[in-house]
Amino acid sequence: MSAPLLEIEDICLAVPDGSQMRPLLRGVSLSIGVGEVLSVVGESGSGKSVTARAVLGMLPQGAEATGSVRFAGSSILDAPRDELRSYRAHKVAMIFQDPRAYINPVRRIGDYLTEAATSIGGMRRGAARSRAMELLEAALIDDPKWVMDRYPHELSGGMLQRVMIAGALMGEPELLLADEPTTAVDVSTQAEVMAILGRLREEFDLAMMFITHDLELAAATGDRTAVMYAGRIVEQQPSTLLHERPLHPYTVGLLGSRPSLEAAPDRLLTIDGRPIAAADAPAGCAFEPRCAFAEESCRAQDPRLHPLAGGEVACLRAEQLLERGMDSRV
Amino acid sequence: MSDPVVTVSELVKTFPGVGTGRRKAETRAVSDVSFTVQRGGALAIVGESGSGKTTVARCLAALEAPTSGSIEVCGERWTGKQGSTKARRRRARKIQLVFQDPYQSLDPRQQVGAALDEALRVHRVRDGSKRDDEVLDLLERVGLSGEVADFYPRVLSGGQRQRVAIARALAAEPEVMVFDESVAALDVSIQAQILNLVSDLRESAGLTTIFISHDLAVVRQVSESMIVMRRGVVVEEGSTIDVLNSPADPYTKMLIASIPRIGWDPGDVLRAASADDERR
Repeated sequence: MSAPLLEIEDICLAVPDGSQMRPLLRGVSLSIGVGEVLSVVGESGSGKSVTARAVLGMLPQGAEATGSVRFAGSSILDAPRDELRSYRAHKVAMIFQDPRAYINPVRRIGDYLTEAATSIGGMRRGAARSRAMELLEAALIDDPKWVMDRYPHELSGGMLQRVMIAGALMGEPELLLADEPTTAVDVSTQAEVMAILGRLREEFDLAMMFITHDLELAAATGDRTAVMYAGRIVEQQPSTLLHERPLHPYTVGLLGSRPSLEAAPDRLLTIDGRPIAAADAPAGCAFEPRCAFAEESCRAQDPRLHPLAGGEVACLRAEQLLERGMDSRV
Repeated sequence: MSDPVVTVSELVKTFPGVGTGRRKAETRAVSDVSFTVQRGGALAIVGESGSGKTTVARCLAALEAPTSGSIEVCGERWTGKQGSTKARRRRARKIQLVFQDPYQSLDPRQQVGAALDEALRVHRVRDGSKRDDEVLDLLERVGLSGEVADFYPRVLSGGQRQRVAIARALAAEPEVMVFDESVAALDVSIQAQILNLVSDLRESAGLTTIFISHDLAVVRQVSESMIVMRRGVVVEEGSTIDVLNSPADPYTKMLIASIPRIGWDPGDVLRAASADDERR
């Protein structure tokens, strides 16, 4: 197997909180190959967005980080400013949940799309405009010329999401970080956005980190799915396998919590308690207080992500539970 | 054996337009919606943004007055007129609404206990000494410990806040509860807890529920019958299982096809939608 495009190794990240440091990530490791899609799922506060920002080399103010982010072999977290600038302009791009919060409301779409390409990319204005229109068309916008002259408030949320996707591709990136790009839109618009992303990925051979809280969407989109909990990846598997045979009790709980179209059980499976942030993680396994399979050893020992049955899992009892099965309700 | 608790007939709601001159057209959020819910039943109203589903909820809870048509709850008929405070309270005792966002539906300066106490005082329990016990009882019914009464909403998580909002609605001992996207903003594991709470309440209190949602899997879990709305009109109705298993309207089909799953091709949805547009 060739070297992965993106390789994150054991990132720990903490931000100052008063006189103490507040951890956000507790050792995240993942990799994405050329043209591959990794879905990252997790509940609020699990560290999905912080991880994506770390890939861009954007750390919160005053943050202390250990571990490494490597893109095509070169290290990102300690890269000099100008290198980082060209990396963000041409190698990776990010799209967000709310395009209205991200796109400058007082400038026309055309200016938004071409600004970076002309100022950082060194493109001529005319060339940048025609590339922008090509990308808008690729994003299934019927009348790119009309859209170029509009202001953001004149477009619907779904249209603006397409504009943001087109903007992300202006620098011809190799990796797209998508942070819940469909969370705020209707299901039919979600299908549109996902269809456009799928097309563009094929056309430009893009790799993608797709962040979502929706396990089904993660499986439909990603070759592999990584599940995050309290600032760490607790399980990572090929998406189909993750749904058929989850390895971590938390994943089992998540899958069981989700109502399904096929059947309505009297009660949904639930996970006791509520998701915790990395900062509140106890010694030992962070999921232990909510876990139905926890043992004495889980309180003492902090499990690391290790390979198991074609995937990776961070659970001390994973081998045992895999053998025995976790059907006995979480 | 028919015992309708809620009967909505030919409900229409328009809002005055913005702008001036010819551009000032009124917005017709709901045009001609009718449905009934039997006692103890569970109806889901499904639709995307702009379908008018929230406007229906607000009309049910008398937060909006219908432009025309009528709403009958527990035999009492309401038409356009808002009526006196007394009449509105009488309505509120029959039907209560739980909103989507528990971060906005609770007063940040009011302790949980005080919020519940106020709802009890307004609706039911005049005797202040009895109310303290009732507050604890309400908290227990929604799975919260008594100490939460002293908390302000800001220290509570989203799921806990939604439980408080449900407790506050229960304070009126309503016959009908309307949930307007009440689990949409919650994390998956918390969503399941709240959905279980809703089905427990249906069983224990014999509540009639109307659940408004865009999420068909949630609808499957919490409803017996459903209506699908699009642009202010009902495009399909029936038992939840029938509609989800064999949808008749192309729009319902498109909604079902839009649900992501393994092997899902979002491109299919696009093609189906454009074929549908051509037909219309």
